[in-house]
Amino acid sequence: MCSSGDRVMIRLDGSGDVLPLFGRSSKVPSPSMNLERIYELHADFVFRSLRRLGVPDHDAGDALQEVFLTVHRTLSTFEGRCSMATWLFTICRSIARDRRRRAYHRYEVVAGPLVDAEPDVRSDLSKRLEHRQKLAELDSILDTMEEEQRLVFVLFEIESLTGGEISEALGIPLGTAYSRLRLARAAFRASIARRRAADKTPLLRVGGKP
Amino acid sequence: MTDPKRWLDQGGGGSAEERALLRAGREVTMPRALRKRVWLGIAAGAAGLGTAGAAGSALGQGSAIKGALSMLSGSAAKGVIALVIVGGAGLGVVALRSSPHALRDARGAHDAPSVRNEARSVVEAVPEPIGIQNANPPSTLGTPGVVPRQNDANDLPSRSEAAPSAVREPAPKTTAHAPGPRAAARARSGVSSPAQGADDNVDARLPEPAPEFAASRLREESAAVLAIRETLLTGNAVEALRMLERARSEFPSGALRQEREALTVRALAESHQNEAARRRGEAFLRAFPRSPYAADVRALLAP
Repeated sequence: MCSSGDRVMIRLDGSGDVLPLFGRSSKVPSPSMNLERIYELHADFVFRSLRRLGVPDHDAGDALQEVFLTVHRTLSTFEGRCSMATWLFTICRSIARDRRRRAYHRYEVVAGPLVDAEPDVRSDLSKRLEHRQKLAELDSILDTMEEEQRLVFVLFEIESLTGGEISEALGIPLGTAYSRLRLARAAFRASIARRRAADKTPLLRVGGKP
Repeated sequence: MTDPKRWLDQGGGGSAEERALLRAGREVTMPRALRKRVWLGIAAGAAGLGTAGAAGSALGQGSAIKGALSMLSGSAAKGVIALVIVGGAGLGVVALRSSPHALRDARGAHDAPSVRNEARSVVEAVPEPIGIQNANPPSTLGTPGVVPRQNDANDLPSRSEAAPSAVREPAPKTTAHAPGPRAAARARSGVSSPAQGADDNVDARLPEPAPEFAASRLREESAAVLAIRETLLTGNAVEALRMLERARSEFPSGALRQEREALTVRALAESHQNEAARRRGEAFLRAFPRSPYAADVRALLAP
């Protein structure tokens, strides 16, 4: 699994450029700038990942901050053997697990409303509403799936991680990742079919007769 | 093996409906206000992380450490500090205020109620006072063979414990108990607990793990650490030590424990408490050997 330890070469932007990170040389940007850049590029991914990992929306801000402070602390020892997304996801998993445990001990209800999560490109109200509905449906379908399948499905289909990255992030063999993806796709499709079938079923009248 | 095509890709096999749902998931972004607010908290935390990059032989010479704090040079850190100093408008300043009331007030419509409001993290046992002026350093700090409690594994020195041997890095994992208003009031007022000064039997003076765990208050903790660093920068190491002691009471299992401890080593060194600084620094290095501040602490300890 991806972990920290040796030198790192990380793509810091979407262009595919590979930059040395935290080599402490004068050519490398300052640590805070690196952190800022990583935040700029990956905050949304971390936000989505935390949500998918069960961090309640009201806790998202603190969890995000915890993730990036961990990034700040460990960046200098981060290994370049995995992608930044993979590494961030492993941190997200660890922090989400920890926060769930704390929430359990506080008897806190983990589920919560969406944190105003909406695409900033959608200024139109009706489009925004449509997006919210779609997102609610997506969340609802994903909730019906087994967690290990859901994680692979989300990372592959939504976050566009490669099979290799998912394998590293979850610590599973590549073949297992593909297998889970196949099962997850079938489950996702079946869930949609069930919802559509339910939509077409007429409501029963009181007394049980249609 | 090669990856299959994604459903959202051309010819990926996803139906229009499936693609629409996945696209909705992909388009989720953080609300802008949350994005800014979280970054300010991160930057404040990161800005508080630097210790003494060029400290050199401060301990050996007993001189004040003049080394520039490495993180201070970062633009983000400067921005945050400038916000605090200038009192710039809006979110930044409000988010960095340490008062819980101010933070509550600052939460606008974008910010759902946080569990931070529900609990303050305070431990029953008030840590031993660190070396303010001529106080003696923790006598058993670094003593071999003393095993810390699991919950305190990341919380360094002032509990008269040896350096934890199984500290988990990097993610902060521990939480503190919320023992009740009396202990909270004690800790906040700085009045020592009756347990203070007790021997190494940590378990005897700490309550069993309570069902309630402290909520994260990273922003407040970040602001506190930032303020401590500012105080150190002005050369007021004694006041910084007092602030560190308060922070230790207020955030006993805070996410910025490493930073706090590194700053403590520096503050002790700057206030010429060389032996205390050395013990604390050594304990820090044992507990966090891979910490990004380890080099700074080593520099402080260098003869």
